[in-house]
Amino acid sequence: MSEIQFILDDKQITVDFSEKLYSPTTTLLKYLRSLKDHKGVKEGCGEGDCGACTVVVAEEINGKLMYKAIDSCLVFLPWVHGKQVITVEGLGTSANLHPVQKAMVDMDGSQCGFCTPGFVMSIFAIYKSYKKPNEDVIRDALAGNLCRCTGYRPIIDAAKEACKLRKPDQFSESEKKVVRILKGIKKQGSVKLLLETHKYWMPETAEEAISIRRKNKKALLVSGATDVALRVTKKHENIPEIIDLSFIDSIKEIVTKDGYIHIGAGLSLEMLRQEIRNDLPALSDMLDVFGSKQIRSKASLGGNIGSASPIGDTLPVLMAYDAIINLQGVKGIRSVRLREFIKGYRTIDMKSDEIIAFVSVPVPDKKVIYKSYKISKRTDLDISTVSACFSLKLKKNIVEEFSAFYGGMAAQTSNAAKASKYLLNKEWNLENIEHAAKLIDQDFSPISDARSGAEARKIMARNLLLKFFNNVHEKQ
Amino acid sequence: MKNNNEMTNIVHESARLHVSGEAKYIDDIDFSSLLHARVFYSSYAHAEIVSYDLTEARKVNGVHAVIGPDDLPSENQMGCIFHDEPVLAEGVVECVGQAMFLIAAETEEQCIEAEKLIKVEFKELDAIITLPEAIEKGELLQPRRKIERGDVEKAFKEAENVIEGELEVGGQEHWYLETQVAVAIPGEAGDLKILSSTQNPTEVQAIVSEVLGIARMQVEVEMRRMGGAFGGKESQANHIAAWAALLAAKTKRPVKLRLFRDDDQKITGKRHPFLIKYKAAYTNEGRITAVDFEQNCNGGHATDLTMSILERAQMHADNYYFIPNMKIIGNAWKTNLPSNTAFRGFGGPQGMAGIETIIDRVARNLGKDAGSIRKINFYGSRDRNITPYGQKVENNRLSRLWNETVNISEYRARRKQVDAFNKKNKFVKRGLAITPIKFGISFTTSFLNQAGALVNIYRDGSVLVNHGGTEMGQGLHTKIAQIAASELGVNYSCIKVTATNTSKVPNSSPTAASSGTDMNGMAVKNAVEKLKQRMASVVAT
Repeated sequence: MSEIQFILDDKQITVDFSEKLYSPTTTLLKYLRSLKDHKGVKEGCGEGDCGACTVVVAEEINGKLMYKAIDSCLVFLPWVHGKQVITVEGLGTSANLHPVQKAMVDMDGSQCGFCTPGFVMSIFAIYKSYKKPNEDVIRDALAGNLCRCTGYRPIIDAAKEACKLRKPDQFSESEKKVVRILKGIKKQGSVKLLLETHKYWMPETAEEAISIRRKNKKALLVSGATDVALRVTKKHENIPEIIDLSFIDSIKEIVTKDGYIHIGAGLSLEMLRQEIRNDLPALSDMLDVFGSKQIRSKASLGGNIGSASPIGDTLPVLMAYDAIINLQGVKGIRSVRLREFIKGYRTIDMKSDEIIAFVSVPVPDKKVIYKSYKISKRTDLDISTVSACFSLKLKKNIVEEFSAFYGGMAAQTSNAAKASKYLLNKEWNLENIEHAAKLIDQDFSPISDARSGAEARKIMARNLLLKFFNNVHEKQ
Repeated sequence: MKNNNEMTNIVHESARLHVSGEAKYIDDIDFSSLLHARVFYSSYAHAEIVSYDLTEARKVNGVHAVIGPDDLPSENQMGCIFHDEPVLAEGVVECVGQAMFLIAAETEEQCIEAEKLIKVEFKELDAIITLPEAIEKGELLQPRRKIERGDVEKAFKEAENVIEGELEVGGQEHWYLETQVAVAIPGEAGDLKILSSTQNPTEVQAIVSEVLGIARMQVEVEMRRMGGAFGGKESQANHIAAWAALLAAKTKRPVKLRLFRDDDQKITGKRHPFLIKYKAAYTNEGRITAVDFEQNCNGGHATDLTMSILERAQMHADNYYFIPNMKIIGNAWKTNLPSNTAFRGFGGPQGMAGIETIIDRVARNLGKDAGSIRKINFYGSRDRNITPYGQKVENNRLSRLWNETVNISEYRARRKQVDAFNKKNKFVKRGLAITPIKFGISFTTSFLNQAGALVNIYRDGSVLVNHGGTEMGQGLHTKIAQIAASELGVNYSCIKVTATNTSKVPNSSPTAASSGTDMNGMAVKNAVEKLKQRMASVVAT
């Protein structure tokens, strides 16, 4: 088997990898730009930082299409199997503009024009997904697109204008047909691309994935692949064997049961962010400043945990909530506390026949205060310099429980142990906090890198604790 | 112009093409038998090239050429003003990102494969990166520049107050969304057509002809639109085009060189970082009586446009303030960085930052609002109206602009709110400033302040306009079309502005210095006037 099927704008496409025009790690961006009539999608950075390559993907969920903007430079082509890819050319032509395109023209939303197709697609995604998006929704949806000619205000105006005049478009008309075709593709079962040079598996059940993994121990697990794609686009690495977990629906669910919120590891960070806003506010606060909507819509929770980066932003928060990682293997489920699951710099306690199936977060005790922080060079779409999540339980202003998990301060995310221990059973006052802040210096010896010097990191870590104190104080 | 409304409600001439993805940038054009190119560049800031071997790289399937400094057909030189920048490093590399070898292959992947097989032995040498290091080492790119007026030393002796200090202004990456790109297409008899994402097609033509050792008439450079430039494509697009041209000449095939973002950021220059040392004298009421500036800029390893940028910084060191005694020294230091280059403001922002720092400190020292200190130092209308470089400030309207801005922005009310907020909040503070900005429109190299246009009126009444300016998003072509329509008295829709092309309008100036519309617009106006006269004489007979 060597083929994938998808819909490109309004055409049904089959890509046969045995023809060797493309490899399974060819990015969607590269594929589209190789076509004669899809040069509208642009490469600005090749790493999901600029959004010039934004396209919209429509997925069939319960008989309806869900539209989301993604960075096509971070997509391995097989990922689009069974989906509809919508490009700026599919929206309309210069002679027959889509309402989103027309609004961009009317509001003077383009200058040099190079970022414009990407912005058009990001706006199109909200046009299809929200009835009346407010300005926060619009700004959030555009945070993953850069304009260097400084034209953001007219672009935001265009988004408002387009959504104000929202009406059914050609995609509404073709929705039923597209759903039927996509369902038809799904029915054909899971796809394996077994080629001379590359192997790319797209299992549809966890069991299938585990069985493939057992037999192919070198194969790399990906889900959103927003991190792994950089190894291809930036480092020009060849990754010969990949197991793509993004086709497994059973690990994309979220349920609250028996005192735990069980989150499927395949759930996208964007879905997660929206689902847990009320239940796990410290996590949704962190996800608000995690990557961009394009990246969050594709990146999975399991991927962020599994890559075990010291600056993986969900980790300090999930550690503060004391989340449990549930690994599915041949023998069933094995559960490990996240605090123990991360073993060191990008190393995890996972066996070669396991996958991360779901993450269980205890339903937070209402008496515990959780708060997360991220310091980066800019608010949106940036890597953490230092991140932190604090948990605090007070009884008559005495600290009953406290933890302070930091990212960016060591080779792995970890608790400021001395500072936390010091605060236990102490009065929650500025004097004690200032003393604990000093102890953070003993808890960590951070490195200096492009984002910050070591000394500045220590100052940030101390100040975050003071900020947390201040924020708790303000609330009371 | 018949319909005024039609003239004012005009969108960008390419807006409909931008939003539909139909606007073609250089990388969007398909060519048959196109080769892809890649630059092998230095990974050392400063090193001797002991030896290199291109044999294995040349053997890679699909590779058509791997060029080193020994394979150049003409002089190994591509500096735009001063000839101090080799096309390919020879003997020594002077910055990370300096081009060493050029590769052309059927695919980008084959280029990368070949790149990995190039072997170079380096001997690392001491590198100078920062300004303090450069000043200590003492190597200037070009002789020191000085502007002086009055008697600074005497003014300091007689001063009521004196401050001294230093200001560092950092660099900045252009990050045009469209990275540097050029396609070189060989024609007959050694001719070349170049599509270049450049603000300066004429200079691309000049550098390509020099690098290949052919006449300028053999090189045609075309530019339809850039995906942003911001100064980054004023001189450094030359290099990309020259490299593509060398490979095209060698392989006799069209060659495209498009830099990946990471490579673009490493290879090309940025805004000049400045270290400004200052000493200033001021009266107890806040009038500045003397300033001594030493402006040190980090030029990188070659001169590029550094001297013009430095001079602009010097000529903006007064911003909009009359300073009776002033000395401005300008030093362009050589460092082991990519050659820094034009960037929005072209040294002006760095120059103005120096004097604004002084104003701010004076205000703090005197416990006054910085805005009020600015105001009492403005250039006057009848006196106090000569700049340190001898230009008379005419038609001075700053006081009016200032008062209107203060009123419209409700500066005073906001000031009170900010002060009240800051008194109340310990950890979060707000700031507010009102600052005038001087900007010298046009080139200080004054012969560049000219332009050309070619206007074709066809017998169906449609008009094709060509001029020497380039479109990078600023809407120049839109404005030019408006000018042509207005001067001809026809509808805007009758006008089309086509790609800038050196064979249509020769010897053009770069599109820079906020001068594109003024100069090219006047050239179009001039051309239309001539055509109207000719048509009038025909009509009269």
